[in-house]
Amino acid sequence: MTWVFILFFFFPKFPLIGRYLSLGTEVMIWSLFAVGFNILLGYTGLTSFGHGAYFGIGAYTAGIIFLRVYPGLWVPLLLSIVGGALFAGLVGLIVSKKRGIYFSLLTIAFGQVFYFIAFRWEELTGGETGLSRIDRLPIGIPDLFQIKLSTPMNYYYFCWAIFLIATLIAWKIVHSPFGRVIRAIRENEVRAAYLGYNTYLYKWASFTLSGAFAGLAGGLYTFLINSAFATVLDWTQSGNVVMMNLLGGGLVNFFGPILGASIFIASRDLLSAYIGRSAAYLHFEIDWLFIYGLMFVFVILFIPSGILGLIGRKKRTILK
Amino acid sequence: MAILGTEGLTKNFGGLRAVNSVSLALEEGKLTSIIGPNGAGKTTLFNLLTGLIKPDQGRILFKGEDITRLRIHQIVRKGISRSFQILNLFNELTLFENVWLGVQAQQGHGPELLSDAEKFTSIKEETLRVIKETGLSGKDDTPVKLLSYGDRRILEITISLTTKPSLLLLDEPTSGLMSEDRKRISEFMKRISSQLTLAVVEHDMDVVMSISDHIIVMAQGGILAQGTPNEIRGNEKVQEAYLGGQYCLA
Repeated sequence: MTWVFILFFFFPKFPLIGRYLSLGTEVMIWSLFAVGFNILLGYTGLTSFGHGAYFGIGAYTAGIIFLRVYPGLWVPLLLSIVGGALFAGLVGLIVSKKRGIYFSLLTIAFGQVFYFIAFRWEELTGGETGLSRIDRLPIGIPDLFQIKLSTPMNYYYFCWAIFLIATLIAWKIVHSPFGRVIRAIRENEVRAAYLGYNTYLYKWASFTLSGAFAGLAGGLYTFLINSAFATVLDWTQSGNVVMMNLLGGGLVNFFGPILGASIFIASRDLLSAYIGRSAAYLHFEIDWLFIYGLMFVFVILFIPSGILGLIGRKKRTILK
Repeated sequence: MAILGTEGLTKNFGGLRAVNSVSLALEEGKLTSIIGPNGAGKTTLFNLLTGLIKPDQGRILFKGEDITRLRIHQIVRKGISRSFQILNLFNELTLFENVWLGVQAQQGHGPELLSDAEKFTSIKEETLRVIKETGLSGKDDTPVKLLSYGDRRILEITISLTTKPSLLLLDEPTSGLMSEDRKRISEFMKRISSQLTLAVVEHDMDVVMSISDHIIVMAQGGILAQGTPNEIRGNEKVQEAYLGGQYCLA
């Protein structure tokens, strides 16, 4: 656990890539999202294709609260957690009754519902133009001790701290008695019920918790880009977080999602920058998304347990 | 006194009447065997009694209380537990973790979100005690899928017992076992039958005749006959139901 955070702590000092602070911040935000999501995917064994919605709800909650209610940082961020958890909790009431493909399909459907609401409800969400001018105000006690978050460096470390705390909480959750029950549900839901566990409730709780993490990540993202758009709720976001987990090895390792998110975000930026450029030079039309897609097809086909699954193959085959 | 009783229990699967107006009583402290040809509705009956499926008609009373509409975990908490005909375990988890989960549920733990599971020493001690009692010690850290079939059968019954039931339903506990392991299981059943009420679906007539206090014979979804082992042995209807002497009742 420690080395992950040491690595992120010194990221800004790295040669070459250290300059891209907002990229680093984005990696941590997505990592936070993915680690929370893995409580549902890797530990409970439920594949949601709609968690982009709770990320988006968190993003909008932060933006709307900042612009309309309380221009600050803590309150909008706190409410983005509440928002993500609340809506995931409501949807969870319905989807937790389902299993397998029906569960996944329902999560997509609800994700799209939220997307269209955000897109159409212009008064609240700004519709297509979204919300902007969501500034990062200083935190601390005025006139006494304040940290300016407006600089990318300070915001990076702010996110680092939140990422650390959130990951610690997720770690505690999966190693608690609750964590053991959700793993049991992943293995055999019927048997878990026959031991006396209310599996519906545990699935609901897992769904809601991962929604809370998604909401927090969304809130942090809004403050990173100083705005919120309906695209954050797009279904591709939901797919991305699933992909990050699979790529890094979330099904076999707690830290898989962090590795996955890092590679995902970094390769997205690299591919879009370099492939776009070299393709133009070669008079060859190729979209970087094409290469990107191929990469993931490769991962799913050949290393289904993800990168950490490949390394730790001998050690363990399943999430502990 | 009956610990569990059913009144006109009926379940249809499409046009098939799997369980047809079954009214039975399981006497407290007794070992009741349920026998009958394949497709007689024995497993469906167990599924109904434990809430896995809901009956179309009829009621189930446990200790005088109507449990017909309760969900699985509620029925388990009332004191009914079961094992499955087809092994039903947490395959990727270790033997220790499988037992742990049952003990944890029995002790009322599970919702604790942020406490370290390792610190629940009472669960750990009880888990180790249960494993020791079943004679599976030393295999604690083995993933269940790597255990032998016989060990898994024992584990299947063991984790059904971790919930401390007053009524235990065992669905073909000796199926697929060699005679050595069969003996192991039937001795095990005899031993626990002094502590709780047992209902067993079983095909092995030697086992049935030697351990049962009471036998219920099912055929085509209904009850064909019931009585003590001796009464069943002499029952002509029962002999007929077992076509061509596929099962020897002598």
